[in-house]
Amino acid sequence: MTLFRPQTAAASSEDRFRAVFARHYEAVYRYAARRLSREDAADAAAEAFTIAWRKVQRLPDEPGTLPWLYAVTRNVVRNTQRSRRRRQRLTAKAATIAADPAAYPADGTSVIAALDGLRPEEREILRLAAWEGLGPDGIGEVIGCSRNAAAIRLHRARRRLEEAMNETGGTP
Amino acid sequence: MSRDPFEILGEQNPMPEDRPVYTPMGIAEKIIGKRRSVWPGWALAGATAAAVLVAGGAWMWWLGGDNGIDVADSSTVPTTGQSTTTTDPAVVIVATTVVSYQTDAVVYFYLDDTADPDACPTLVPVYRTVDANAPVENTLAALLSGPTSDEADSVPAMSSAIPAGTRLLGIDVADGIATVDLSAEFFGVAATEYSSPGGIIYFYSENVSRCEGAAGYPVGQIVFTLTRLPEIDSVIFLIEGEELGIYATPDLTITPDDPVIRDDFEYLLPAVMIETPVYGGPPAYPAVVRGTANVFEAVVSLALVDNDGLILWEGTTMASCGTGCRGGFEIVIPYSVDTAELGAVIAWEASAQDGSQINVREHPVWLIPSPPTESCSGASAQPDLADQPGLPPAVADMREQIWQAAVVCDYGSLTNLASPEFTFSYGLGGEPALYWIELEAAGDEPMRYLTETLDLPFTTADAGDLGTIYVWPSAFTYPAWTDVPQADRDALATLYDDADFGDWELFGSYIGYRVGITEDGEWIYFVAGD
Repeated sequence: MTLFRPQTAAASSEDRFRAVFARHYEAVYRYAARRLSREDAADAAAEAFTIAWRKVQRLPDEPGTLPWLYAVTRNVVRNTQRSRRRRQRLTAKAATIAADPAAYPADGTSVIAALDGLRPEEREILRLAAWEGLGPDGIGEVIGCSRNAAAIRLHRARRRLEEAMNETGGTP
Repeated sequence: MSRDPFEILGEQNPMPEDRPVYTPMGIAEKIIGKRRSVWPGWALAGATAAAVLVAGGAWMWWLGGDNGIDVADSSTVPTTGQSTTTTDPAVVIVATTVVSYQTDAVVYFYLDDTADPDACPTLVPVYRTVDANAPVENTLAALLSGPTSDEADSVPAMSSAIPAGTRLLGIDVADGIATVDLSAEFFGVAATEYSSPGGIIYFYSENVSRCEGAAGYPVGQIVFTLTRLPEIDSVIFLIEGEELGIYATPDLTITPDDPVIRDDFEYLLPAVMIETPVYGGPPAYPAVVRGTANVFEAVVSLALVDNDGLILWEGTTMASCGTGCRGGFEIVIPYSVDTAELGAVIAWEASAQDGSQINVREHPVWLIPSPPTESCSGASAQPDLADQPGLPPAVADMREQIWQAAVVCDYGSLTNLASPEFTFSYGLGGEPALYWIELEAAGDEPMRYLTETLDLPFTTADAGDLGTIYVWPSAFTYPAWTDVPQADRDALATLYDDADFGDWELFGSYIGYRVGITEDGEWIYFVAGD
């Protein structure tokens, strides 16, 4: 027999947040670290959880919690990228870059170069699938569209990645 | 058999699941205990330490909750990428790492957006994201890559006058001058067939050969792209490392001794040039529109339309110069949409003859349903604004409207609420919303100060012609800080600390944020300082 101990709303919110933090911090940090510097990633993860705490009453139940956290972190990451751009003191050295993408070695770097040539949303869908391992359900929740739409967009993004690889001369 | 790029992409995961991430203890408790500060020092220090350790693959112990962290064995730092160097000392191929983060960038292409087949294309700023590790080089690389196939096929068509195959051989930035070394392809010659012609060289790109100053078209793209970066004002060109003269227009030959600037290429601009938001740029609320125009009587007409082409906002603004000279303009446009959608900013000149739209320039832009409240400091305000008896209805109404807008960083509404003579900063002109947006981005929390100041006790002041002004907080009414009663100081303690109080004591009076609304309900200032 299981006995339930009555809890105050505040106490249960806090316990719930602690549990969510313990379960998902790692995934949220990884998500941020795949898109930002490691230093910014830790800040972004902490900021995402700060927002999650503020909205703890609206946190979706599992299995929707992590996609919801990804969506929040996605916004934090974009804000970080924007404010970094504003702050960044650019230092340009005489180093040069091969403007011709064909000059990239035909390995993983060329797929990253091809990815960079896609639209921001296509990039994000591909990363969510390839790096976060999300299926159409999860992708839809993160980017705010239906499961079907996410599946179609993922399919298109994969085709565009292939095309981009061919265009940039990468040999997959 | 070729491999699936998606599979290769999976292998390029910069933070694979098998790389350990150590969840820093104590952060959850700190977040739960956190109330007002958006991002306190402890969290930054802790998070940064965690990041460094995670990046270094080291073990970490978080000691004693609030204060200490201790580190053991941080000597092993795995690398996450590889550096590739060619045998040519002048060329370092940037393939150092597949772990990169992106930053926004803007490149300039040409848009054929007039109905007149004889008219020449004009410059348009286009959104890109580039690897932030080498933003200047990567921005130029994005420019040299030209428009995407979608952009090239769109109506109006986008094009580049820079010949395909042009490579960036080097770039150096010093004292605001960028020195760019381009490959021979910039002049339509394969690098293998190139030998220095000496003297002055030029190239007409086919798509602009009919246009006056055609040789300046590719050069202008590079000048506009580079000088958009804050640290670059002018550009010097080298071709295959050589200091050659470049013929750009009948009036302009570029030499290495004489850097060129944007003004040299003004003839490449449309009558109304939208610089911000850039073509296809990321969403922003409100829409801040900036640009330059050379239009009749300096009147720039603007509209913001939604995805169905319905007008969300329409109006005019004045450029700083007009009818024969080019001047800058800047305006903040509020809008409201239900879902994120692609809309457009349209700018044009009203014909002096019949008022019809001429010289129309249109940028597709993303519109978003509401301001990003998560990152708005005003969101930390109390759930409701407390009633303050004794305020005239017009003042109470304005106070409520300001508060409602500030809670969600609705800069568009705040712009509409501010009176024409509004004071937001001593010594600065321009749009108050832009000033607040910058402050918010810098973490200075102007919207939190605005919402919370309105919740402090108020006072009144006599302002001559303006009549009575209602001012928050009440401490402002006292000429000397030492005269401010304890109750008023206690009220201020929600926003300020002992260090601020000490500053005001030294200065002699309260100089923190204050909000002023006239008895007629006109919002005339939100300002701090002396």
